[in-house]
Amino acid sequence: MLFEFAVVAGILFGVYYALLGVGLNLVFGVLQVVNLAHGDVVMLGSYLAFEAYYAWHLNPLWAVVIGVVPALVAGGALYAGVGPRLARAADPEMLSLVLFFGISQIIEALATVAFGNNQRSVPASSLGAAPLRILGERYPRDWWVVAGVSAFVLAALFAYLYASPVGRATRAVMSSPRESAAVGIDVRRVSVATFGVGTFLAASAGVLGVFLLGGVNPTEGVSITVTAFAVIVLGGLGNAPGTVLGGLVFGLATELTQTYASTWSGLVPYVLLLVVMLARPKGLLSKSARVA
Amino acid sequence: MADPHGPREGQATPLPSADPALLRVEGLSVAHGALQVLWEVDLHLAEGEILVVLGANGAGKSTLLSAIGGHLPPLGGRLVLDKVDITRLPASRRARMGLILMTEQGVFPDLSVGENLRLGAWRLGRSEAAASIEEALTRFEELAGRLRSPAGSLSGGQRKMLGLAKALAGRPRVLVLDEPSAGLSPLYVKQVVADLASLRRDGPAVLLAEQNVAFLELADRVAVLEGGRVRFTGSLTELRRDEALAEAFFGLEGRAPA
Repeated sequence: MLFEFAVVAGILFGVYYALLGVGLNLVFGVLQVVNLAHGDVVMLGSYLAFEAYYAWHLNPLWAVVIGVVPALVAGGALYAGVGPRLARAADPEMLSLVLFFGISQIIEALATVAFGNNQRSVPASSLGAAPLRILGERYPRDWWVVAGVSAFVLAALFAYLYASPVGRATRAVMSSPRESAAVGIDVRRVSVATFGVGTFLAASAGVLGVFLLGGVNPTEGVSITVTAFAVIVLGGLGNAPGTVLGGLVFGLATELTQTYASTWSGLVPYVLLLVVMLARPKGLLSKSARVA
Repeated sequence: MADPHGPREGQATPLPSADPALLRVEGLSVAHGALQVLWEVDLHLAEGEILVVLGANGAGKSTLLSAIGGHLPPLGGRLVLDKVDITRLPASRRARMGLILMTEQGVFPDLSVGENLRLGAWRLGRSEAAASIEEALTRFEELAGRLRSPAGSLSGGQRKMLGLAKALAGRPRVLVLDEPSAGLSPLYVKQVVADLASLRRDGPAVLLAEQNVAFLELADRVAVLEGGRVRFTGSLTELRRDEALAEAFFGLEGRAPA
């Protein structure tokens, strides 16, 4: 029974991990930038859930909705501000790493001032108390709710990417920025929109993460970025659908190690990252004949 | 026609109001990093005209086309599209004005054939886009059966065909083609030449860079680039009369009148 439990839990967590990584991957795919502040935005999302519950007495899930506009605007404005400078840089990759590392540190410092150094959490009972049963095992309700909301946000993201003109332009830029400009797409505007969407995805992963990641503290951003990075490397950098597979593999791997060798579970992100980097550097879904 | 002593950088050149040129390249100089590749290139292209730019590898053809498309900022000179100075406009603005560059890659490999065509028609309104895609699919029937396949899964020849269909889906006023024969078998080269020939009637003005002389049969005029400078512009007949050039591009038999 232990095995079944680990597998179902792995899938539930996996859907969540997909959401945790997908914003980072979308931004990477369009801008070729690893947003080192991704985990810090996740952390801010968790605090938003915390405030929604304790200060505003709402169901913490409302924080996903409350976060939409501020995240889109703040993310878009940030990139509109720094994008032109990055585009002019002699070494944009290096500059962006330094830049987003700096932003990450600033967010962490401000969050410490605003929320203090303590670990905060929101009780799982805020999402309803009764556990759900499947195949005779009981799973905490918050796992199901988080996986369900994650799946919903991911579905909305894919509808945006595959069925809207802006989404199609976004995928065009991911495929080839030069070709996109050649058909008349304003790559800079697509980049600004994408950074906004990526920021929202990170914030919504934070709202849900307050449950699945065991609360929130101001310094958790870096380790969350590493986790998200492992997920997207598994699924393929710049491959948004691949991120879902990456999340599932990551979720199953962590749950299985936690079940059978829990002392080692902290190593999972790093080991998976190394193995995939060495064996399939373009991700699990990559085809050898794929033309970049 | 071609004026080898055309306008130079910095020299104010008011365009005559009856300027027949749709696209004008005036004194264009371009560098890749510290290496200057083009020196004061002058070219012009009239409505509906096909101009073939010939040149060996490294003569600067791709650089010229990149600069016209807006992917490389020039060191000096001007680009004028239909009397509008576009020298400082980004590539996307130029494309939306109808100056469409088909790069050597030419397609979005990760996207489906259908999506490639829809993106090709990006600059058009919804109903015009639908009509132009329909038109492209009538012209390139082979693509109609593969709308859902990723462009990256097509063969080299089909990909080139898609690149051309995608460029045409945008209803270009000026179509700029970078080595459409690159990587194609002779059979497909013939096909591409035929496709372009079929554009002739009320088609766009075409600026085409090639090493392959098969494309010369399309040319209203020919320009020859050598070492980053325009060495010759004129008709095909005039080109054949120039012994050194004719030998370079056609071999010995090229000297015989066509």
